[in-house]
This record gives sequence, C-alpha cells and structure tokens, in this order.
Amino acid sequence: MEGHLDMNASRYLFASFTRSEALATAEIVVSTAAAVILGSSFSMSWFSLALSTSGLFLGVFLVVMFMVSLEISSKRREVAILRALGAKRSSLLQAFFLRVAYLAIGGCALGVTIGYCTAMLTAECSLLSSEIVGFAVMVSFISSFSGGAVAAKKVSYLKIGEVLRQ
Amino acid sequence: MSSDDKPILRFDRLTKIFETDSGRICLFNSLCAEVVEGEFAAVTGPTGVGKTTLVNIIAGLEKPTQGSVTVLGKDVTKMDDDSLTELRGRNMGVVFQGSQLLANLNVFQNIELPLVIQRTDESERKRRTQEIIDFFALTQKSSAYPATLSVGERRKVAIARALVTEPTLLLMDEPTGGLDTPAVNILTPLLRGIHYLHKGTILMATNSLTLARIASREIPIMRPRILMTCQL
Repeated sequence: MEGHLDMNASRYLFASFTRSEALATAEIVVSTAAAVILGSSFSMSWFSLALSTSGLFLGVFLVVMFMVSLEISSKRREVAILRALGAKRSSLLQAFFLRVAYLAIGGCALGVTIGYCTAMLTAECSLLSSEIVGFAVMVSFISSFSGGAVAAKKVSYLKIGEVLRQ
Repeated sequence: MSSDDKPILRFDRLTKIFETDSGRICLFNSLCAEVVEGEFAAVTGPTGVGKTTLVNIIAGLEKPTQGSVTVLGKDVTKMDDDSLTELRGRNMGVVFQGSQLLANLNVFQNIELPLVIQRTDESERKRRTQEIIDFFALTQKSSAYPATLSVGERRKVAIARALVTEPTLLLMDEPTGGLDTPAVNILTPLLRGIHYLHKGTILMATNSLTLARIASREIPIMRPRILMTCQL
C-alpha cells in the first residue's frame, strides 16, 4: 500500500533514545515496581491497592503524555517532511504508537523485575503472586500507552505547510 | 500552447486570505491560469506575494480561501487527506524552500526516501537513486550527511529527491534562493537540463528574473491587497 513507510519508519523519526523518553520510561519503571511492592505487602487489600496504584498510574499517564508531546514537538519538522513526501498520517501515527509501546513494554518489564526483587528481599512482602504482577503490568501498560496515544494524536493536527515555512 | 495540450495544473479564481494585525491580506486576487503537459512555467513576483503559499496549495499542504486548483484533473482543494497524500507521493515532486532534508539520513538515504514511502522494490529503488545521484554529480557525497554539505549541494539533493519518483509535476520553490552566484551558476543550467530530461511538467516559484528566463512561460503573481474587509 502506498504512503505507508515500512516497519523501519521509526528510523526516520527516532535516531536515538532521547532524554524525554528516558524520563517517561523511568516513570513507568518506578510506578510498576511500586505497584508490585505494594501489592505483595501484608497490609494491602485489593481496594487499598487499587486506590494507591491509581495515583501512581495517573502519574504515569500524565508524564508519558507530556514527554511524548515534547517528543512530537521536537520532531515536527521531520514529520512534516515525511508527510510532504507522501507518507500517510496513519503510518506516522503508527510509528509513534510503536515507540510508545516499546517504552511501555520495556518500562513494565524492568519495573516488574525491580519490584519482584525488592519484594523478595522484604520480610513484609510475602503475598507476591502472578495476579499482583499481572495487575501491575496491565495497569502500567494501559496508562502509559494511553498517555502516549493521546499525545501522539498531535501528529494528525500538524499543519505541514506552516512547519515547512519555519 | 495549442488547444490539444493536456492541462496538468489549473487555477480557477484562486484567492488566499491571511488575517494580520493590520487587516486582511488577499493573495492571488482570483488567479486564473493553466499549465499544460511538458511545460516549464515560472511563477514570478517579489517576496511576499504568496509564491510559497501557491506551491503549498498545489501540493495540498494548505487550503485556499476561495477558488480551486486542479492537478491532473483532480481538485486538490476538495480532496481528503489520504487521497492528497497519495497524489503528492505518486505524481508530484516538491522542492521546498530551504531544502528540508532529514538530518539523520545521508544523501543517498534522503534521495531514496520517497521511493521507500512508495514501497518501491529495493533493487529498483537503489538503481533509481544511484542513477539520479550520478546525474547530479553527487556520487562523492552519497554517504555524507546534510550538515556537512554546502547550501548548493543541499539544494541539489532536494531537487534529486523530488525527481527520483519521476513525477508528472515537479514543483520548485525558490530553487536558487539563498545561494551565492557560483552556486546559482551551477544550478541554473542544471534546472534547464532537468526540463529536457525529466519531460514532465515543471512549476517553479522564483523572484529571480534571470532564473525565470529559463522557463517557457511566466505566471506573474499580483501584489497582495491589504484591506480592512476583504472584497472577494
């Protein structure tokens, strides 16, 4: 199908791992790890776990949204050039979604590992189960991906003509 | 221009209005013009008359306020984004003011990019890219990055990139703008050569009367009207 960059589209947009991406990933890692540790604690019920992690993951949503917005703002020119050369809006959106998905998957994996190791070393955290890990991964992934997706929509509203004039 | 000539590009009562602090600026004043197949037309006028805006409107990157622009029989002012993108990728080559190359790609990759977007077969892609690199005498620079090139070389890369897809319509916005005299002297005969070799239709926006002379026809753009209330 014409107008669709191949799966390497990200190589035209993402040459390196930027500081804003590193910050977003760090936020995902910390929140996921915290959710795993909280969930394995004796004193936590499912209700209190949900309540405390909702705050953490709201933070993930907002941080990822803000960081991806920054990322898009810094790549406006590249996006405009690709669009002007015939790349479809959907293929560029897909490239940003994939990038967010990679960050979310990487952040979740690292967060679970850190959270799991910490929980294993803490005497009060003996309730660690696959449900807890699953819950932390699911909520972390959903909040980071949705934050990134909301920001990535900015690509759709980019005024190519104006960007290329600047 | 004979009556049998196929029009590639047509402007019909084209007007673009910009809102500014000092009032509304009306560009083009209901421009009506036609560019036929194989023609090399130069859109001329001093800075600020809207030449870049006109190129952007033809490429579907901006919308006019009134009137229509027909490219290859299709009214680009009424097309949806996907159809416009396809028309631009398949039938148009655009050389933007300031070259607009991707800094993280080398010369070869920048020129190859429109073919990657069109998903051209890799061997065909490499062949066409190399061919055009040789034509523009950029072989020595094919692995260089835009930051290491001179302004004239960057402009050559931008023209090569626009031509690599063999477009029906080539749009060039100030191809010699910002270049020094030696670079203009190199680029001018090259642009003339492109017209002979490309065989497609070329529309070039320029404020240089010397450069406009290499075109077969001139489309002068009227000075914009500044009105408190724009009269269409």
